[in-house]
Order: sequence, then structure tokens, then C-alpha cells
Amino acid sequence: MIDPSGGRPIYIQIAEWIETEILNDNFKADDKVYSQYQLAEMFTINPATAAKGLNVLTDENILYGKRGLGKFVTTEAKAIITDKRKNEKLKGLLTEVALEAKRLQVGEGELTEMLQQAITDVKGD
Amino acid sequence: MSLNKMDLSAAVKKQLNYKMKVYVGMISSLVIVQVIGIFFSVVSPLQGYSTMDYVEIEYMNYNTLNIITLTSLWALIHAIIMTTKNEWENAFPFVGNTLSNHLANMIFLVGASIVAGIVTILASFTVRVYLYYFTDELFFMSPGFVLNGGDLLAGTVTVILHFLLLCAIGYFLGTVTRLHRLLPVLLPIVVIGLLITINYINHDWMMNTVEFYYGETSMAVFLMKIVVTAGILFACSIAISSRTEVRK
Amino acid sequence: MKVIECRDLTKRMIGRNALNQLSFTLEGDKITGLIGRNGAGKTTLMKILAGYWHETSGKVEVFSERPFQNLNVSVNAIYVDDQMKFSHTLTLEDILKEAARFYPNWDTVLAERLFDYFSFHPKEKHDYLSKGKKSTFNMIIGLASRCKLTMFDEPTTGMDASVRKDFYRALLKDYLAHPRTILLSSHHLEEMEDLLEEIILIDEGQVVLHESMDELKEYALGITGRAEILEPLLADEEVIYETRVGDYSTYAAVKSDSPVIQKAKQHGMATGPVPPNDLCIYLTAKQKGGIDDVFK
Repeated sequence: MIDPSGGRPIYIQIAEWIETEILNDNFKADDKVYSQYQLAEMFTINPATAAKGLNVLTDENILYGKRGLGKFVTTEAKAIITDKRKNEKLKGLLTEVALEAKRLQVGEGELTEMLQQAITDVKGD
Repeated sequence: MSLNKMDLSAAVKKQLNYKMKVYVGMISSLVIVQVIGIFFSVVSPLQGYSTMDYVEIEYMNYNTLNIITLTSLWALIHAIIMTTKNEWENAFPFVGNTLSNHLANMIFLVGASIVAGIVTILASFTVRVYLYYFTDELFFMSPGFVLNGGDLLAGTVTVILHFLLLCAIGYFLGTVTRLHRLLPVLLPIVVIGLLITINYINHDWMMNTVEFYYGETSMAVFLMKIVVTAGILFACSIAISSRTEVRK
Repeated sequence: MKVIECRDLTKRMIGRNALNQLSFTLEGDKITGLIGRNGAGKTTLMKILAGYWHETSGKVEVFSERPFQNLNVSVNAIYVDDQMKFSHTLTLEDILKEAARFYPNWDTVLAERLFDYFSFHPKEKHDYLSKGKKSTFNMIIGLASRCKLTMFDEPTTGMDASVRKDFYRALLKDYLAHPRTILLSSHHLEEMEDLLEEIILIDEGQVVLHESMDELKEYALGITGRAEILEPLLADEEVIYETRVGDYSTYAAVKSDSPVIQKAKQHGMATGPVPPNDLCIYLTAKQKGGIDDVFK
């Protein structure tokens, strides 16, 4: 879930964790998400770090704040997250794949074949 | 959370309470010292022998000086121990500073002197009772064997003041030794050396000093002399250690 | 309100400056890590803040008062380390009772619960506790005292892994319920970095870095690349750490905004974050190459 030893900042990991919770429908539109103190306790992290994670999501319009009540999921949250993951994470992963393929001198055709195989495997699950 | 305030008197009060818990051992050692004192007073009287014409008198002189001497040592040593680095740090409670710790120690020593004084007088009664009932020889009561109220009070106050003076001396010497690592070894040598030298130059100096305190016939003046001396010694102890750092 | 303010704080000890013109300010109720190598001055700094030691020169204030021998600082600040000594006449139970009398914010319930949880015996003596048990007991005092400034100096010394975990969690939970300034010194940054809001890295008696934890994680980037390409790139730039890996590769840590990174990426070199603990080691290393330089 949260990997403290990884170099990635914890607040980004917190933000991603909440995003995943929203993608999995554990939080729906207008649901209240965990407060910074709840998150701090859940993951044994500093509440300021947790707050930063929540703020990242607020800035991206995934959460909205109600004064004194906490943070809530926006109606368009799921769409934003899906879009973002497609554009950033998936693209990033594919770039890495392309780089690694280049290093290993794997040709375009071979790579496409491997990708298609992977898609079939996941479907088969 | 708001900030808390702590003033000197509150700190001293709390610390005094703490000292009483920490130094309970001092009371048990006082009891042991007294028992030993009583024992010596009873088993080893000063023995004397004198002849007058055809009469030979063999006498045994019982007194309670042993108890006072031993208790004096007890007071001196305990006061020194309180100032050693180890004790100072062990008994340095959670909240306080050097001044409050000194004051708590000093008030404690005043209390200890009072307790020791009273216990010493009670012990001397024990010796009296023992002698009265258990010695089978011819028994003479020296003046002062039976005390009247005034004597009793004066005796108690004198013993208490005597112990207080020793506590103050011990506390001062102990505090001085903490100024430098070598002083615990050097100071006794210097002090004893000085006493011998002064005695050599001026024979009467020591006698005069003892006379100054213990030759005093007026109770009020005696009390003044001791209290002022002890006060000066305690004040010096505080002054020389005001820059001392704790928990090295 | 400023909790701690140090300006050009210097402490001279046996021929060297344990603290050398150290300056920093701490505000708000934060958990701050005081990080540094052995002998960097962590303990000296904390003992001065607690009022045990006096400064040689410079300014030091805790709650806007000079801490040395200050009763108001003494009652609001607690310093916990493994050297804490208590009179041998007191049992553990007595010590907790006494602490409760001295600290106005003392939480008896918390103290008792932690005492039971870590299975202490009320009649035990502090002197006879093992190293880890001593640290655990001292930690209870540190937490239950609820001092506005709570300082832990190497709090986990001798604790086993599970107690260490419990300690960090207890610290965080109590902090969430009762926010206050907590200063934690350690040379094990990795095990407590998630707990910290910011860190103060000190070396040779000076503050090297005072950053929030999040910024620290993004402070530097590591580059791995072929030595003959990477090393010329680094030549004129500020490099935090540089070492040879094998015969042909070089690993270097540079600031995240360094121009080297763009150039390295153009050469197809791999870049990655530098873990905070490593970064602290690099920043306080005596020589750029570390221990390897000794064996050259």
C-alpha cells in the first residue's frame, strides 16, 4: 500500500491510494474521504504529509473541501483519475517499456506481439 | 496546550517532597548510628581509679558523648554525600534548577538536623534509663542526670544547632570538591594541612574557634552564631555552583 | 509562537566547538527530526535547550526565555535519553508518581496503560532494567509528561524492532491527540522519516539543512551512467555525492534543479530519487567518495 522505503514522496503515495479507493468505488461522488488525522493514524505518517496528499487531490479537482467538515469526492473525480492515469501513468510505463526494448534490441513487431500476449493473459484472469 | 508557569517556591516545595522520598535511607542510617552510640555509651564507660588515704575508688564514668560524636559524623558525611555528582544527578528531579535543588537540599538538612537532635536526646534518655535500672554498682547521679524542662530544651536546641553546623560544613566542602575533578582528593589534604599549619603557628587558634561557638553561654547568641555561620556556608555553596551544568 | 530560536549558538567543549554558530528557528506544533552523525552536536544542542547546559556565546531561547537554569522552561520542556538517572531508592511506580507531581499536564492513564502494555513491574528498580527496557520506560515518561517541547535523544536505543514500531506509533497517536513540538534525534532517519514533518540536519555543530520532509525527498536526484560521459558533465557542477560503481559506471547525487540532470537524460542515463537517509549521509560525509577514498 504505502511504501515508506521507496524514494517516492509519501504524500503522492497517499494521493494515489485515495485515487485507487475512488476508482474501486469505495468512495463515491460526494462521499467524505478520510481526514488528514485518520490517514496519519492509518499509515503512521505525519499529519502534515497526509494533508499534503489531500491537497494535491483538491488541486486536481478530485476532492473538494467543505469548511470545517473535511474533504469530499467531486462528481467528476473518477473521470479525472482515469484520464490522468491514462495520460501519465500508462504513457510513462509504455515509455519505459520502449526504452527497455531498445536496450534489449527488441524489434517493433516483437514488442507489439508481447503486448498483445499480455493483454490476452490479463483477460484470461 | 498552554504553557505552564513554575516559580521558585513551588519548585522547592515539590523538590523537598521528592528529597524526603529519595533520602529515606538517611533516617534508617541515623537509627543505626544511634543504636551503635547507645551501645558504646553503655559498654565502654571511661574507667577511673583513685586512692584517698585508705580508700580506693574505682569508678566508671558513663556519658552520651559517643552518641553525639557518631551522629555528628553521620550529619557531616550525609551532607557531603548529597553534593557528590552522582547523588546530585540521581536526586535531581524532573523540574528544577541548581538553586531550587540546593534550597530543597538545605531545607532537608535543617529538618534532618532537627530529627537527629531530638533522636539524640531520646537516645541519651535510653542510656539514662538503662544505667538507672541495670547497673548494680553504687550509682551516683552527676548533675544533669535528671534534666529539668529548661535544660532539656536548651540541650535539644544545642544539639540540633551543632548538627546543623556540621551539615553546613559538609555541604560546603562537598560542593567545593565538585568544582574540579582533583578536589575530592586534594581538598581533605589541604584542609587538614591548613589546620595543622595554623595550629602550629598559633596554638590557640583552634581552641579559640571552638570556644567561640561552644563556649558561648548565652543561648540566643549561640543560636545566632550557628545560624549565621550555616547561612554563610550554604550561601557560598549556592554561589560557587551557580554555573554548574547538570547531567554531563 | 516561536518554540525554539537559536542564533549563532556556540558551545565550546574541551578544545572544540560542539556547536559552532548554529542558527535555526522552530515554530508551531511539529514533529521535527534532529539528524546528524555521532558527535555532530545533537545531544549538546538538546541539553542546552533543556536548560541543563549553558551556551558559550550566541542566543538561545525556548518559549522566548533563555533556557539555562530556567524553571519555566524546565516545566514545559522534557529531555529524554538513555542516560536518565533516578535515585535507587525509588521503584518504577514511585518514579511515575513523582513525575506526575512535577509535570502539570501529566497523563496518568496513558502512563499506566503504557506501563502495563510493556509489562513493567511496579516494584522494579530503574537501575536494574535492561538497556531496551530503560529506553522504553523513559519513553513513557517523555510521552506522559505532555510537555509543550518534548525532546527524545536516540529514543530507540536498545529497543527491539517491535517495541521500536510501537514507540513510533504511540508517539504519533499521542501527538495527533495532543499536538506539541516534538524533537527526535536519531541517526536512523529511515525508520522514522514518515513520522517527521521536517528535519534539521546538523554537522560539526552547524545546521546543514532545515527542510520539510517532503521537500527533502525531492531535494536531490541520483544519476547512474557511463563514467566517461557522466564525469565530464559533473566537472563544473555542484555535486552532492559521487562514486564509481564497478569500472565503467558512476553514480552521482545532484540537486533536483541541477542542469546536469537534463544533460544526463539526453544521454539516456537513468535517474532516480535519493532516499533521505542516504542524502543525509552524503551531505555530512567527510569526503566526497566516503570510506572508499580511504582505501584508494
